[in-house]
Amino acid sequence: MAEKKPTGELHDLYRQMFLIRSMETSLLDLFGRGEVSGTVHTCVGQELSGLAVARTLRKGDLVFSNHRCHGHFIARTGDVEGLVAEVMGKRSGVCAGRGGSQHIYKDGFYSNGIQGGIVPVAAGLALALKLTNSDHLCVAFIGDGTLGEGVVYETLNIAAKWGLPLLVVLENNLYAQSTHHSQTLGGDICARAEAFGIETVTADTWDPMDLIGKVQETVQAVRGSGRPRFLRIDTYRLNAHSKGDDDRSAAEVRSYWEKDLLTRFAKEDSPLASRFQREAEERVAAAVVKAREAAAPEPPIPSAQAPSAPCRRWIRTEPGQNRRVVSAIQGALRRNMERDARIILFGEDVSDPYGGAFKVTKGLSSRFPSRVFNTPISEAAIVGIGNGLALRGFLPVVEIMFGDFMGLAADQIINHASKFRYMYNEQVQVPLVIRTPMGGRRGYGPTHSQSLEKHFLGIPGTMMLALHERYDPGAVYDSLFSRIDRPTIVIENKLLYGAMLSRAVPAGFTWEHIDEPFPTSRLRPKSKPDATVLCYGGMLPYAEAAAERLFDEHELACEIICPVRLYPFDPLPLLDSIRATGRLVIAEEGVSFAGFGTEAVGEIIEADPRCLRGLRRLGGPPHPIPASVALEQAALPDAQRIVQAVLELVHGA
Amino acid sequence: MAPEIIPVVIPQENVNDESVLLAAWRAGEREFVEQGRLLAEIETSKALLEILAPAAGHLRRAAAEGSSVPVGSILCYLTPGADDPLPQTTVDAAVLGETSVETARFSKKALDLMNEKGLKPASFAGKGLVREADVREVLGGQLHFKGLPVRRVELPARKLAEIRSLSAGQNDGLSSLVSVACPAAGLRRAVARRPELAATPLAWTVFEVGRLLRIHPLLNAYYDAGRLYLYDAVHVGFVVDAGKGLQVPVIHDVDRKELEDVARRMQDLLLAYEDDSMRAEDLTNGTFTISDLSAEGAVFIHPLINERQSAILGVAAARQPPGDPGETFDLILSFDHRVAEGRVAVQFLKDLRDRLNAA
Repeated sequence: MAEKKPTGELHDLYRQMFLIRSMETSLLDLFGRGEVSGTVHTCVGQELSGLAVARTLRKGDLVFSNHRCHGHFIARTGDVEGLVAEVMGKRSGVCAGRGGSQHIYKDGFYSNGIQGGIVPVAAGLALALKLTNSDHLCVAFIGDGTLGEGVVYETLNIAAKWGLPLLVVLENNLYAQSTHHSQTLGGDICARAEAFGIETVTADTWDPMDLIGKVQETVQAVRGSGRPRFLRIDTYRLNAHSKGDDDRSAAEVRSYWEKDLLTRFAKEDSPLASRFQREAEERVAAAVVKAREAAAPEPPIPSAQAPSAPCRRWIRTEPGQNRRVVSAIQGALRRNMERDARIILFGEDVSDPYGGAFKVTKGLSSRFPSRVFNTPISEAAIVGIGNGLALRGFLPVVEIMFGDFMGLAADQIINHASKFRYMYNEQVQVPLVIRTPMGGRRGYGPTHSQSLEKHFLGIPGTMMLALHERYDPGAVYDSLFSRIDRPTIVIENKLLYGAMLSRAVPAGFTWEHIDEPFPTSRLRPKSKPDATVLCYGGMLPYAEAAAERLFDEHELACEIICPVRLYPFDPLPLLDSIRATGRLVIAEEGVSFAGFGTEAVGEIIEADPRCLRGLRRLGGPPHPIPASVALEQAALPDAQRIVQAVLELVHGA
Repeated sequence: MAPEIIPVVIPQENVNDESVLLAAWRAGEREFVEQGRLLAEIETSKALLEILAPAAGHLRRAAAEGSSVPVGSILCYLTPGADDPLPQTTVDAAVLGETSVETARFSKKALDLMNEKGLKPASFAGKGLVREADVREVLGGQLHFKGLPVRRVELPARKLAEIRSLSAGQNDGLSSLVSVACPAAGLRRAVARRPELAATPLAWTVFEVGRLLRIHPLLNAYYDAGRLYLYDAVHVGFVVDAGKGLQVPVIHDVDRKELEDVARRMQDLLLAYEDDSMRAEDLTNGTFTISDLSAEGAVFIHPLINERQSAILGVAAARQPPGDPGETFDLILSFDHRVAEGRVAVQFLKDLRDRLNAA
């Protein structure tokens, strides 16, 4: 059927299939000979799906692929040399050897080695296209195995609801690594997408003209409607998942080899097939030779110690305006949104009239209706969509309603947001702001009162800020929007929202902060300090009350060090204080084991092993935060415990 | 090229400040500091500045804690070795702008004591944190022990004046003491060569001290209420106590006098002491003092700094028998640490020793 007309087209596809297959085979060979480290996931047998999609895409369309991305990449970019060098870990690779086989970027083609997590990121890319009114679309390649991950459904729901130009291409090769989907897949594949009102199409890689036609139709439909579609392509992976991990029956695999398009083509037109194969092998062999000769990437030279500033400037912090922290944050968000159209804000219940669980975003959706919107309860998709927007130059601000829910978004922060810039060799940035309130003392109980920031602290490539009431939170946001270049988690605090910025500075002390965008603040007693208290965020008022009480009742002067930026952490202000006092009390609301304070002490000891004579760590309880007010009060550190700890340090237990 | 001595200069912070207050040193004298290490805190009218080490080296202070330092002047040096000689510098005194007087904070114990004694919080304005001990200090002489039998003896007016001067010199002072050994033979030789010194060998010490104080202006100065005052003139007093009470006649403008003038003036003053014909102007306006107790056989003394001075030189007796080839005596300098540091004091003494032995 229809053999005549498309022959040229088909031959072109076959030529490219040979190229991809030859490259994959060659990579496996290199792996076997130790020239490729790690692993490779090859797509032998599945080449056509990527090619069929790529040929219908236009310049400016975006693609997000997965661990088995080589074929998709070659189909989209044709850069065999760049990919071979990348997999061989060379400087001339598309990501200079940082990403390797599964983590590549070039010209709007992205891939990551995490399954479901790429789908919300792709949806974020699609949202970016929609917000810029382009007629482009984004393609996300997933597999049947990906259907086991919940974030896929969070995203399908949102893509359908928001009308995102997203084409989800599911390559159904029947196996998740070694497990046949008859063991893991309930119900029907397409019915999943249809449940969200997304139209689906099914094709396979054994009927090329049918596949090409359906892909064209589907891509056109997405482009025309700006709505998502779901394309299921049945296919078969002829090689192992990666290497040597194949337990499928030999007969099954053999039957698919016989069914394979290129096998059939070689039978039909052996001379042409041989020519295509030879041409492909020659190109790949040349790419391998070139990559072998290419230089290995050099680890970045740690930037020489920045020239030391001649001085560190502490500015006296005068009490702020007569307003609450919540309105300072709200004002800063509004001010920066007026100034910068790239800022997009979304999360659960953030729109008017509700305006967010803590009213931080109240009024913003009325002022910026196209840039502030509510989401479903889908923390992973919220952050993932933020990732995608950030990759395309927006400044997304997402709100996670309670810090306790951050765990649901952890994969997006750890495996996506923090890694893109580095693993794509600095070709992209992820200026994503994640706002979330932590902290207890409101009787919300075990799952709405925690301080979980330590679990997100120190992720390379990220920044973490903790707002407090002695340095205008609005100024922190101003600084952030003017210079953000990495995913940034901003820890707010439930009790902090209500605090007044105008509270007087306690007599006998000075509040001051370093002249930096995300400064460390210091409560300096007007007398030689006896002890240093390190705190951040919501612990600050308790530390301050303790400092007052320690002087009034015990004639001890405490210096409080309170950084805004928890990571990367600058230990010097703390170190200087400890050098003067020799005693440190750390007060944090979260569990102190393996927490911020412990890390801070590590840095201090590393810098000056003899400066610290005594240490007390105060933190959250070794059990969940109880709901009962009396129990909660007893569980969380407060001023009295700080006082007690300082007394123990100064006078002995 | 040998590693350099790096001067650290007070930065211009804002146009209103001509000078800043050196609030505190945060690294020790001669301590080795890494690059970026906090050296000192200075207060401008607007902010507290932390001065960080621009390079690694040994900290050598050039200004005293609590003193006012002009913007652009040298705060300290970083030297490759702990004892490298420093370029000579002078610190100009400057007057600080008025700082606003802030309310103090009182501990409960301090408040209780104030209430008991009827002291008002206003007495402590600008004091910052006030503890019980601070209140006791203010109460000062008002507190005394009761109960033990005592006899009261009135003190002569001269003793009261001496107490007043010395108390003022010690009041709140952070007095420190350094000494160097000085070979006696060289000094003896020099005195023997100069007939004008036969009657008053101390005149040579006074003469050299006068010259040296031009080079070490911090020892010809005094501290008061957060400010450093440097004398332009050099008026050296010397302690006399030969049975007619302790007096400190002053030789004015020593730095501008020749040796024979100094010696002659000293003889005149000693005669006046004997004759009880000392005039008031002979006893006033000293900017530095020398106490020579070598004739009394004292091998160590701790001289007390006089009012509105920053240092006093003590000259002790040799520890070895006269004529011993290793015979040395101590030159001792008691100095106000708010004004100068040990480095300055030791350098002064070493310079003096070398000059006394130069002949």
